[in-house]
Amino acid sequence: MPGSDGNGVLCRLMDLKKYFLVPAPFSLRNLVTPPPPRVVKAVDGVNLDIVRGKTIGLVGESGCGKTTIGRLMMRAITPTSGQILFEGKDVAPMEGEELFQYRRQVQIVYQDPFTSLNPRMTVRRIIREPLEVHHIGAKEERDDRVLELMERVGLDPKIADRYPHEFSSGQVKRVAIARAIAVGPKLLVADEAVSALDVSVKAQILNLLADLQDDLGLTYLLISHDLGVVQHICHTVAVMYLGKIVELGSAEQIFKRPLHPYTVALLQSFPRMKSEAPEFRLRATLEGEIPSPINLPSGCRFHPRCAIRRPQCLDAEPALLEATPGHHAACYFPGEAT
Amino acid sequence: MADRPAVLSVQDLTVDFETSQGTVNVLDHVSFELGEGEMLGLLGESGAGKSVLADAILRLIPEPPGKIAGKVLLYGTDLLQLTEAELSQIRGKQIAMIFQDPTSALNPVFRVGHQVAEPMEIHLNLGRRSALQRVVDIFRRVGIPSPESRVANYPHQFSGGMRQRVVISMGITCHPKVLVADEPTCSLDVTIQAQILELIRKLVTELQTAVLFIFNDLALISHLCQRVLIMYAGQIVEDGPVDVVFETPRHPYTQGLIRSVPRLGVRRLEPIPGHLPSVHEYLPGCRFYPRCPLPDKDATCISTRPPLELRGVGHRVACWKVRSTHAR
Repeated sequence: MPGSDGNGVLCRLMDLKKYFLVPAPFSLRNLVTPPPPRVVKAVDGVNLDIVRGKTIGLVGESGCGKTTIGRLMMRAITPTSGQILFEGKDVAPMEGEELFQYRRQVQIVYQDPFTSLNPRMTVRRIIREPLEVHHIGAKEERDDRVLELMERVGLDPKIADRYPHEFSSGQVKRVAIARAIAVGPKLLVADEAVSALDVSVKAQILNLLADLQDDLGLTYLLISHDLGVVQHICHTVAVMYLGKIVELGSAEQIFKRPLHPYTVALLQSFPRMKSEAPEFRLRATLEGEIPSPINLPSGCRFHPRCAIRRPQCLDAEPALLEATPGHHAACYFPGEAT
Repeated sequence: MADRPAVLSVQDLTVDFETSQGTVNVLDHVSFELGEGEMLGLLGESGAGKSVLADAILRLIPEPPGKIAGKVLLYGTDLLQLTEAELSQIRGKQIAMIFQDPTSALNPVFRVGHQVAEPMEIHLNLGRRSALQRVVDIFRRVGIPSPESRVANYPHQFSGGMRQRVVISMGITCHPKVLVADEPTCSLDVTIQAQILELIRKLVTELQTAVLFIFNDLALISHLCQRVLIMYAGQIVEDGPVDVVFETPRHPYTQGLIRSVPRLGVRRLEPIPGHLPSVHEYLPGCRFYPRCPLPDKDATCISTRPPLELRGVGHRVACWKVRSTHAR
């Protein structure tokens, strides 16, 4: 798979799979004769290199498995099979002290800071808590560290004793970022972290993330459906469809020369400013909706919605192959869709 | 202003709310016109008062605690002066709304067919059966597969995109002259969003309906609408053709907004400093003043609300410091 074994790789996902069992709907018949369990293939064989100090974006429609990858990275859930090699060490079997140390390396910022921050804790306590949990610094130093972190993310230290509900969406987002970077992680998972924000607030947070990356050498895994944010901040972009990566390349490659018909359709649906993309016309490019990951289509999983499908697409699933240097697509006819 | 006869004319619409901390102003002398068959975009960040404006136009704001002043003229009839009974004759028939969240806009305990048929039973005096038959036709038109069986389903049996199609059906049943669409694709994936917007555009062109689109996404408005209103903290700060406003914005807020849009190959953006003021911090004059980058801003800006005045062809700007392009 992509990339060589450079020192630059912080984390490598190898044939990562996560299947969920769905219980049968409650009914008398199902109680008497339970039907075979249904399996949701949320992540279905993902290979990905996360390069140190860079930002990698995971994009795709809801239900494509991008959040599940984030949760696997956090070890909030364990993979069904496959490996997550973080600095060469598999994360999946970790437990106890080792897992605890791993969690210090990987932190997350969620989409909705109002539900991911405890409303009964002051900003000071919220940012202090991870320091206490991980025994970072002496007790009396921690308060100074909190204030330092607040300044780092652009918050006035004077508001340290206020509660999350007193802040605007941009400010609580900064609190959530301060909490995440408090323990000095190497990888920050941003799950739709800048998606729901207003344009002007979003720009402020994007600048903050860029600054933090430059200063602290952070690596970002950005999970987002907002292609505008992704093209702006990501170095590498992975496009996911129904649990698999269908296209992988640099942001420039993905946005300027998309190869997979799904990426092409996604980009055409994504509204860009007229001044930036004068030829763009807002139009429906994909028929129907993303199919259920319980009954995956045969062959290429995208074929039912694909504009350029041919008979062979229904037989076997195309592998993710390098089409041009650094640019991979899982399609028998890369670059044909327009 | 609209270059076609105005269907809807909003004049000095002002909305205040009584709160425990005194009266707060949410909409401040909002004036604009919507031409026949026009697609007008209303752009603003959350908290700017967009949804309050939509609700005020349809008079959906409870009074008290709300207090509405000004005029909302639909074909010359002031909706704000009508009795509830008179209003019920118009609302849903001549002017309708597509709500933001299709999940809360539909009643979970009634079949969707019944909910979409209801306005036709009321406004068009149709019987239940013939109204339901029309719903089947409308469902087919908005692209809901197997409409005959779908009308008997409940909202939770639809996906998000399909549910939004149901809500759109509800809005267009009586062929309204004016449609207010409050972020109709807010929670949908981009591919579904494109489908829904294309659908709305097709329908309103066929029906010659004028639409007020409310969005917080600049790009969507730039493609969908002919004209745009920019709203900041309850005031309209700029109004003009989309190409003019987005190419040569005159108000410093609009300029900042456009500079904030993420782009490929740009590492650092130039966001507007500060944040949207809360309703308790609103100034009597220009509410953008605390964040305004103009070097010559002065005491007048703080004390007196800048009127929305013509500064170019069909281009109105509310700023004391922006001169007319004709004068220069």
